[in-house]
Amino acid sequence: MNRAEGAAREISRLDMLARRDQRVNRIHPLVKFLLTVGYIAAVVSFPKYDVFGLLGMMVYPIATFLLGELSVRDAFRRLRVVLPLVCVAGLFNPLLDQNRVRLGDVWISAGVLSMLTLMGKGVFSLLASYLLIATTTAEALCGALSMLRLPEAVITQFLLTFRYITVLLEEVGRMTQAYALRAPRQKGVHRKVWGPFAGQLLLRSMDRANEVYESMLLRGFSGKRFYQRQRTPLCGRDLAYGAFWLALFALFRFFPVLLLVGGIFL
Amino acid sequence: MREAEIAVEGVSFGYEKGRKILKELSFQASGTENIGLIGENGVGKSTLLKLLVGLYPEFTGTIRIGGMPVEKKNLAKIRSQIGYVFQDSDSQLFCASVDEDVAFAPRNYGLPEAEVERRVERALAMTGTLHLRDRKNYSLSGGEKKLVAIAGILSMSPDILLMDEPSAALDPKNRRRLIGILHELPQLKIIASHDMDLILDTCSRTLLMADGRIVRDGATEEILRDGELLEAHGLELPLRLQGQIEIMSGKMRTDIL
Amino acid sequence: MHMADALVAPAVAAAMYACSAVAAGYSVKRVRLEEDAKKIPVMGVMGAFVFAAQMINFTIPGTGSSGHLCGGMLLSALLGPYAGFLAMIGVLLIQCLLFADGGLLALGCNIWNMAFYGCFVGALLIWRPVMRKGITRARIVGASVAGCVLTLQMGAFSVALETLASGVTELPFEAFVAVMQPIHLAIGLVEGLITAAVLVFVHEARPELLFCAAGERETGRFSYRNTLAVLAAAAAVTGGLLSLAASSLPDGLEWSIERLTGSEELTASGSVYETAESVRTATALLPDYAFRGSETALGTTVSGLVGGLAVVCVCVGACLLFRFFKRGSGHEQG
Repeated sequence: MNRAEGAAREISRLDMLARRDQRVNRIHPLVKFLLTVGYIAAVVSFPKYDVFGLLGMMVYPIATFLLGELSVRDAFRRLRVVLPLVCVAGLFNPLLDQNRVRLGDVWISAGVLSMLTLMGKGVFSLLASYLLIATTTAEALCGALSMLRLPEAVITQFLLTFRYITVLLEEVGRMTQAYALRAPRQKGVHRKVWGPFAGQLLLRSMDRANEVYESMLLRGFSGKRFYQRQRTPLCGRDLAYGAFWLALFALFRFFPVLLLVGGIFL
Repeated sequence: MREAEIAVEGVSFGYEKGRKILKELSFQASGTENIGLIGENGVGKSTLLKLLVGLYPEFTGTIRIGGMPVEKKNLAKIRSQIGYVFQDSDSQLFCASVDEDVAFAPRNYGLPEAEVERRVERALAMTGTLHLRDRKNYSLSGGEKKLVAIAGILSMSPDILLMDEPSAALDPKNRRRLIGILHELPQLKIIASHDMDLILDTCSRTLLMADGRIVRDGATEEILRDGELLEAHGLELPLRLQGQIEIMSGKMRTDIL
Repeated sequence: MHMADALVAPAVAAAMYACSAVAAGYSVKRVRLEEDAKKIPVMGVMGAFVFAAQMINFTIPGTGSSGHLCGGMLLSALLGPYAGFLAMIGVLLIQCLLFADGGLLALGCNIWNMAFYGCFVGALLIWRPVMRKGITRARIVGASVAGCVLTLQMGAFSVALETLASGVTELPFEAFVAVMQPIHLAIGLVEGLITAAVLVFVHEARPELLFCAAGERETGRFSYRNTLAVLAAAAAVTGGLLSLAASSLPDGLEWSIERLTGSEELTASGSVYETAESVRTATALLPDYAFRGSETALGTTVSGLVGGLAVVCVCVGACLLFRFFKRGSGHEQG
């Protein structure tokens, strides 16, 4: 399976997840979107040595994974993409931040703490956006974005791109396979055909765009209305869900909940 | 249903200057018949169909649809009466989901939502795709895409249907379904195809295109049985007739092997 | 070059969202989709093309690795700055949401770093001036390579700036820049050559597809000088916002260290920590709260871990109970 095919499969997998009839899936997309942004903002705003404060934020992903009945393993596979850059930025902290913190009888480096929080932030924010897309379809999300008054042009753009990505990914997948079968010892596309290989696809894509436009015209398109928005009204349950989590985020963000709870036991 | 009528008179057209694809082409059609349009690759079948719906306005000659000349001011009206099914369904299914796509045209024509709903249901029922209603377009198989694309045109309730290679990429079962649908639909249809058996099965009349013109216009049976005529224009007999004629002429074909 | 959420502070993210929103608003106004409806499908399909084409591995001669196409520069050369910018937003939005390529919070940064430079700088400052006297093969190669290198350098520098302003890494700014810029110089050269190859092919096959192709030269009021002025203004605004964000960042480090160690016995000294100390007293919500059993650092750690475990247990338990009861009630109804 080459990269393009993998990407196409990932899109359809996420779409299938988002279409399941789970409780979390039924929450209004706007609420989920704002919660996700709020959660990520809260997570990344933690001070850089506050490991335990940050750790408390795990309640949201844990609860959503459980309620949404999602596989944690699939989500963690996506970390491969994100973690490298975060690691590069974080791995130097232990070397460069030579401050030491006493931990009982041992001294540990403050840099290690800041590295841990940075990685924690990376993992949590990624899980949160995964939870959003795995419980919300692209169209529902667009409905939410249009409720936020995002320009129509941007939303239409997103939806059309989303629609044709699978078509073109399949095409790239087939072309790559056809190429690889005839050039088994090459890892990628040879320099001599850089232009034609992608260029052919580009010309075909342009032709396709033309046909899409023609088929829009033939069906009465006049440039005004395009996609029908899935604008469902917000109901009390959605608001309650949002308010509950926001309160919890605030609690965990501003109070050292883990230490307080731990203190009860000790 | 209004009187469906296509009248093409002396139409010439080329994409580039000096290279005419259609040269003084003329034909007429009316009623509710199915018309096959055959000819070699690149002879201009798709171009002709696109001219009929006014996608390329720079032609000479006259084209009338339902009595109205194909001109800018009539386009909206003409396009609501004549539906064009693209060869590549993906070009047509640009909406995210099936019902959105089928509803695209009626919504653009400003019909009330209840009527849109009714039309979507009817169009999907006619093509036997009601069960696909909530599916995403990209998750459909090639055959399903084609049927949904046809539904997307039927929801406009056109008097005339133009189809470009409707059976391409269909498996035998879906192809049979398509043939059934083509028989049931009451519209005047022009079906451009290389699938001679499909034409033989569905069309009573056939137009043979060559060199920018209609070189033969007649009963399908007659044209598709004329091996010499077809061969002269780079075409072949329908597979179904190949055996019969060879047996009749007592000749064994070894060249297929 | 996609920035992850963990690398940006909320204030920086908001500032960059604002900058990108201004650019997007201006683009929406300039493309005038109502008049040129054909651009709608072209932008959509070309966005999808860029996304798909970035999945193609182009072998880099002499190395074992492969490079990819530069989306921003390619879209500028095909669609021009405004339509190209909007198409890029669509691509970045999808990369972010579906492929975790760049975070949701960092999207504003990513739009700016990749789409703004790629399309506005690439199309207005590079492509259009170079093609002013007609499009030739050599000019395409020159403009593509120069455009990719320049826009990637600007993007990489912005990444470093945004990371600096967010204060997440101990890596000194100079070191970060010293790492980022040369890497992106190499990437820019390779992407530039690949993009050039594709554009040369398009030029030979269908020259009319290219932006600024003869006959449809855009006669905008947007001259070279205006572009520079706008860019300078944007840079000033960005810089101002970033520095504002950087200075207002509450660096609560001291506070959390103290909470962790239970003392102020830090070997660190210096003015940074003294100012941080004053920030600490201002931000600390529970300054004199004595945690039971947390007189020592070990105690704090243990209580943190125990607390974490307890919270997880409560959370999981509550969710499972919720699921159990909902299912039960569902049965009764059904």
